[in-house]
Amino acid sequence: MITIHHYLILSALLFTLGLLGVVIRKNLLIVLMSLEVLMNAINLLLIAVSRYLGRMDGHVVAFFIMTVAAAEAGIGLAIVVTLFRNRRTIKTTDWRIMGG
Amino acid sequence: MEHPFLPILLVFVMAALFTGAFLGLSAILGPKKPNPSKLSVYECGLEPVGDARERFSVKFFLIAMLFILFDIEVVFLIPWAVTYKGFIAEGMGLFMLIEMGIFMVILAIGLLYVWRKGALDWR
Amino acid sequence: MIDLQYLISLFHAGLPIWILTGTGLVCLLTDGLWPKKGGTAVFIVGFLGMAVALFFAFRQWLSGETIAQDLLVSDKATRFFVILVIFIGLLHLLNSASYFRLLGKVSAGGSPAGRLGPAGRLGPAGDMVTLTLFAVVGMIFLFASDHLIVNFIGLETMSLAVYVMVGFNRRDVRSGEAAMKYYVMGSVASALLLYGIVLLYGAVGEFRLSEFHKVAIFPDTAFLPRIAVVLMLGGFFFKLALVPFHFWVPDVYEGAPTPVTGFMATGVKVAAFALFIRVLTALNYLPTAVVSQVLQICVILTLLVGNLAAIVQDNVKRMLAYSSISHAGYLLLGLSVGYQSGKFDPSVSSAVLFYLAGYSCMTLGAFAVLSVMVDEKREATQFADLTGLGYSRPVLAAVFSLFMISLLGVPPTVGFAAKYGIFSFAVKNGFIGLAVLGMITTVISAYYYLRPLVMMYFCGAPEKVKGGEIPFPLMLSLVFCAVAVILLGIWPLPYIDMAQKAATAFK
Repeated sequence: MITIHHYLILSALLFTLGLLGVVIRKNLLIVLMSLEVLMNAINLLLIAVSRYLGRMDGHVVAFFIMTVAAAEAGIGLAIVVTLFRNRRTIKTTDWRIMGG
Repeated sequence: MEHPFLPILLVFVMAALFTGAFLGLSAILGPKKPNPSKLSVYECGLEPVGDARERFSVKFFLIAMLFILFDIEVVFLIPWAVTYKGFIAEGMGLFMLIEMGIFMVILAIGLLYVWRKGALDWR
Repeated sequence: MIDLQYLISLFHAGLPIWILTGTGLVCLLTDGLWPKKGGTAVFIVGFLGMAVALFFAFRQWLSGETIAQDLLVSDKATRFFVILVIFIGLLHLLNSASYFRLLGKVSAGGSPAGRLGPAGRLGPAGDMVTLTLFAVVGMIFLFASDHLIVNFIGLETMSLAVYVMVGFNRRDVRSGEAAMKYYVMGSVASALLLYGIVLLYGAVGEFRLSEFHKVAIFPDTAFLPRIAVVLMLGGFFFKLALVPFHFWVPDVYEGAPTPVTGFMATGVKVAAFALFIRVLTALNYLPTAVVSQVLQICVILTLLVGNLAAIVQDNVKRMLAYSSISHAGYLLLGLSVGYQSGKFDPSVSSAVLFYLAGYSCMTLGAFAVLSVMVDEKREATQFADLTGLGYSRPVLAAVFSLFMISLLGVPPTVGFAAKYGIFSFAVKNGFIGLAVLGMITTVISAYYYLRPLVMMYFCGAPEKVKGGEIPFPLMLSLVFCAVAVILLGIWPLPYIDMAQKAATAFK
């Protein structure tokens, strides 16, 4: 029997994974993916919780969060592309970004 | 007393403890003798992806980005289409149509902007 | 059936928002249809739209009656913040327009014409205007609702626009890097906040802050709301740049184009504080005894780290970044003294609201001065660049001194009135220790706020005059900020009264 606890634990695990990915991974694209994992962990939790409460508003909100996540990914990709265009002409200096 | 949400606290605590302990221990105890091949992602074989610039085509990313954004609008269109009959029955058909029209117009302005700025040219 | 009356009242409640959104779309359209030379037109349209929205926001403020519509709250507090945020947006428009023109003029000789990015184009950049409008709309939604998801969407609208603004200077690697850093940190912060919101939804069964009081009182041992609150606080502290979560601030503030830095230091902070006060008030109904201690620890850390780290900076923008951290500390001090026996009393927020208004004026002014400081293709914002400015450009130097003195909190300026309000609340509510700490750190801050003055007046003549003429829009914003700083300092009572009226709306 799968209960609400399983969903809570799964989403907490996913969220932790995503956070670790953001902090540890050096590749910016992987970092973007980790940010998506964060958003999806939240969405999972949201759907599970609203099922548990027997309410519909959580389901509606999930759509909004999906949209927000997509927009965020779009902006992130755009920034990565801009950075790459700059870096190609400039000698590789270290990304200072991954400090935390 | 057992609270129904006890497991989630345990997960948080365990996650924090384990990651903290491992990171801390390796930072304190581990020997640090870095060299270039150790620092690379794969010690033998392929170069890390970050350096393989030839394979990075910006065009695909641009199109993918735009695709994501216009893809998401369907997420809103489908529930709207499914429930639209119910709204007609309630006499709110026109209102909902206008609402969706506003949404589509905003998206269309975005598309127009993207198009005129030349982001859709495949050059 | 649709209730027409309801639609009309919804329209009235959010009039400034609709105007701003519409203007943003028109700007996008104008910029899209005439991508080559639409910049100035977009700027004019955007500026007028904002001015009209500001007019209606004032009318709403004066009209007095509270309109609460479904997801939209239009009480005094919201209206106060709407006015403040639109002001910030307008000033940012003025600053940024001339900034990109300056950077373009100075660098046009050096680089091939074809490779000029948006920053290299002469005239104001249209995208910046559109982004500003959408960022302001996001800021308004961030606090003009009591539904946490609407707040979150507002937060994201604002953040996404600001990420792009930070990376706006496409030719500058630092700008892109700052954008990436801000993006990653901001997204993590948003995710933390959202996770907290969803957990709170699981615990309370409500997204709406105004419904929280109907919820059965939790036992003090209930920890799901506690985790939720801790996560939400983490998200807020990231956005407000308070000390355990401040590490990204100096790099991002340094890398971003100067006017955008000013916008981030004021607009984003003002909006986030507005929501923060709302959330703190609603959290009274949950077992959150720990929040007050967390806030106090955070205040102490922020004041110490922000002020001490600012001393060792040699870039004025970096110094102002740490200064904005420490000002967030003073603001949080103003909130943390509102806790009496574990419950937050929102009436203390009147001092915070006044502080936010004053802080916005002086910070935007300081960044407006800095955005004139443009050298060949780069921003000349090192302390050394200020040498002798008092002789080569006396007016600019005098205005900059005024803003520095105000940030420090010396009497005839608004900085003093604002800090006085915060500290007097602290003393009245029995938080003597925090008040003393605040005063000590203020004294410490004299070192780094007066250093630019020393550089400008007592360090010899400049090698050469930095930057170009002060363009008209920038002059406008400088004059406005300077007048506001002095006016709010000499005669603060009407504005404090406004802030008090707004603060009573939180409940």
